[in-house]
Amino acid sequence: MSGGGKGGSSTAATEIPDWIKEPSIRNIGRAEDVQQIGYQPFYGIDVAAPNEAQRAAAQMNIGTAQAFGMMPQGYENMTAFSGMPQTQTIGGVTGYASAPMYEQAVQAGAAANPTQAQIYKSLFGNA
Amino acid sequence: MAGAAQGGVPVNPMQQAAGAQQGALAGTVAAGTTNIGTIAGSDIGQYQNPYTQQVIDATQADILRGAQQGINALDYQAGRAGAFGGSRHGVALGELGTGVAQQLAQTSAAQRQAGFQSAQQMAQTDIQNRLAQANLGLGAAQQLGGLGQQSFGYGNTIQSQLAAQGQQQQAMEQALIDAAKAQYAGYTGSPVQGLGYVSQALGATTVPTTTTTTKQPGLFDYLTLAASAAPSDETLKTEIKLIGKLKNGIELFTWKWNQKAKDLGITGETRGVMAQRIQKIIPEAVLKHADGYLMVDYSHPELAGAK
Repeated sequence: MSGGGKGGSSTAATEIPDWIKEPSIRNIGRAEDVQQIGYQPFYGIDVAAPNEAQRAAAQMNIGTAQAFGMMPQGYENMTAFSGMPQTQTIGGVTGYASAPMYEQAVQAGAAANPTQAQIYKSLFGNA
Repeated sequence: MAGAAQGGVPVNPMQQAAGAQQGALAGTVAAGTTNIGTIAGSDIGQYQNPYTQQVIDATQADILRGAQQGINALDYQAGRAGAFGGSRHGVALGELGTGVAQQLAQTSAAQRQAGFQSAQQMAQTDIQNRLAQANLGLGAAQQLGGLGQQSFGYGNTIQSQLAAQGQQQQAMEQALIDAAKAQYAGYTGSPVQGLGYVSQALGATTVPTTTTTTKQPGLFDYLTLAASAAPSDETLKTEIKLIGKLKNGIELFTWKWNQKAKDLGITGETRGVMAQRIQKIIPEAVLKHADGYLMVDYSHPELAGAK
């Protein structure tokens, strides 16, 4: 703010100290870089699969039902975990991963609304 | 019974249970409605020995043969005694005849009685046999009912186990769906989260700022402030002493003007505030003189009573 003439002049200056100025600028730059990364999906196992003992017990259940003629028509050849997703073993742990389902959902969303997907995509990876 | 194969195909225990239940009901009804019969209602005649009359006849023939022998003996004795045909002979024959008739009647009656009792006993035995058979049927029906219940229990247990297994699998799939949905939510929320990174960086530290206000008084300022502004620069003072504070906390001092002040021709009031301190809290009340030293506008409301 300044003034002049017969009334003189007045000047107000607000300054950020140097000791905080440079780190702040670097931090903001880093935040903008991180902003460009986008979502990182988890490709590991989300749900543990039944262990061997549980699988054996489940198969016994099916066998018992079959032996007693309790499998309705169309289910005669059912196994203990038929119909369940394919298991994966990562690091010795067997289970089910949500990543394939997630990727399908993303693809389905992009197919349903390509423009929206393009806008989303343009938000990332421009660093 | 449960799981029994019919033609190589296992029979559903529930079907077995249903069949057994129906069988048990039918068996119980059959046992309950069995005509056991009674002695009074029985045809005793069908149980009697068809040869009873022949036995009686043979027995009577034996008795009559014995009676004939008795007559012959009486005739012989009467002949030897010369009394054949006499009254005594007649009496003896009469007595013999009476005894024979009685024996014939008693023997016949006894044999007929024995025959009836035997027939009655056989009829009773038949009734008991029918009763036992009905009881047997009832027992079998009860056993069938029990087996049916057992089959029903098997069926229920198997069904419950299958249902529990299915529930467990469904729960796993639901957990998987939830995890995928959480991932998708992370994906869609990523842009907003990215905004947060910058906002956080901006707001991570409270950035201190320094505001310096410098006023160069003009002619008008001097005319206006001549009466109220006074030199108060700390660098022009010596022997500064704190003498108190205003209600708003502003400190009041006394001092003496130093040589520099004297060289600038500054004299007068030696009680008031320090310009450098006032500049930090009420910058608009501090002016800079053309000679470079600071002056304080004592007419500022915050400085009322400072002079």
